[in-house]
Amino acid sequence: MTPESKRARQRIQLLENENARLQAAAVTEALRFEAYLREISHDLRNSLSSVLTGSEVLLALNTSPALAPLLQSIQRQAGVIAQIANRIMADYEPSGLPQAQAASEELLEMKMDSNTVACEGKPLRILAIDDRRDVLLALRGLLTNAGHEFAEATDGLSGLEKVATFKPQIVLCDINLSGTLSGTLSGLEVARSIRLQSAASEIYLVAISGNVQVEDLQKSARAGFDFHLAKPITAIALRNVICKRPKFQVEA
Amino acid sequence: MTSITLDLEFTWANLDHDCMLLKGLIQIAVEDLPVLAAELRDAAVVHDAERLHHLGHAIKGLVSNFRAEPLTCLAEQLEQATLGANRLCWTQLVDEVIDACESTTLALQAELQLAPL
Repeated sequence: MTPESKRARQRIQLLENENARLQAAAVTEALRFEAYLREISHDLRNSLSSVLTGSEVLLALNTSPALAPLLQSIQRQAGVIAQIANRIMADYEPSGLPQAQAASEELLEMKMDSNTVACEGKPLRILAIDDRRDVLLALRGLLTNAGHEFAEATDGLSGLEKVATFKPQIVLCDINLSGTLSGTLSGLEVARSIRLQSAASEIYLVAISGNVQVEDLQKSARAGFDFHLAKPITAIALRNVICKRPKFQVEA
Repeated sequence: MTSITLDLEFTWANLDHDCMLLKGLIQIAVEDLPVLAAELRDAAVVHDAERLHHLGHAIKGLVSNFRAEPLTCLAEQLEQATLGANRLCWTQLVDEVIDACESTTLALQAELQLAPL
């Protein structure tokens, strides 16, 4: 190698190092900004929650009817901003998992099962209970494409019957089954019933719901669910839950 | 007519980039949204707050698949507002949700016709 080509190679190496350093700095800066966005969104959502509660109380008391339109406007706009803050927190959640997992980590101690079950190449029997056909379509498509055996039910009672006949290893159950309206079983009651059956005690139970406040997660945990998955369900989150079967545990 | 934004890239990614699933999901929303809007109108006439709450929840769930705004936000607001006792909070919202349902259905219909799914 001539001295010129050696110098040229050193120069290229220096440029590559500098480029890598700049890229690393940009990534660090982006991560720092994401953390800041998450933090400020969290604070904002908490403050807005107080605003929403306060305005709700004032509206309910109806002390000044002239102020009602203003309070309604405050409620609606605070609601929109709170929703944006929720989205930011979900989108920039550090592990890439959905909002439910992020929220569950706040008050519920995440406890990964030490005997993590690898699902690659191992078809599982999975039952979905949901009254919404869009959710069932997505779950059916994603899970059968992945090679799993899939069964579905649209209400709590038929879901429990399927548990007995299909003998699923995993049950994904909506919390807000419309059955709650007509007096039949809710998702929480389905979970309690499954947990009471000794033959079904080994089933991995996952709650699915659009409501992912901490109290929702606590209700799920207490009813016997192993985990709580946020709607809309993503392929990544579903794969994570099916393969790793994480469990949450209510803090004492 | 409400101005609508949809994020079908988000939906497609959530479905593991399965075009048939995406098409199926849009089809369901196009069919179900008008039904839910009609039920919403009926529930509002009889001031059935519990039914309105469940319908708000159902609409939010359906359109959050597509990050359809402003309907996702409006439906969530309706879901929350119907928990309160004050009817003033949700009467106007119901009209806005119904209007947004119609606009979102049209936007999704257009996606079904235009997109090479």
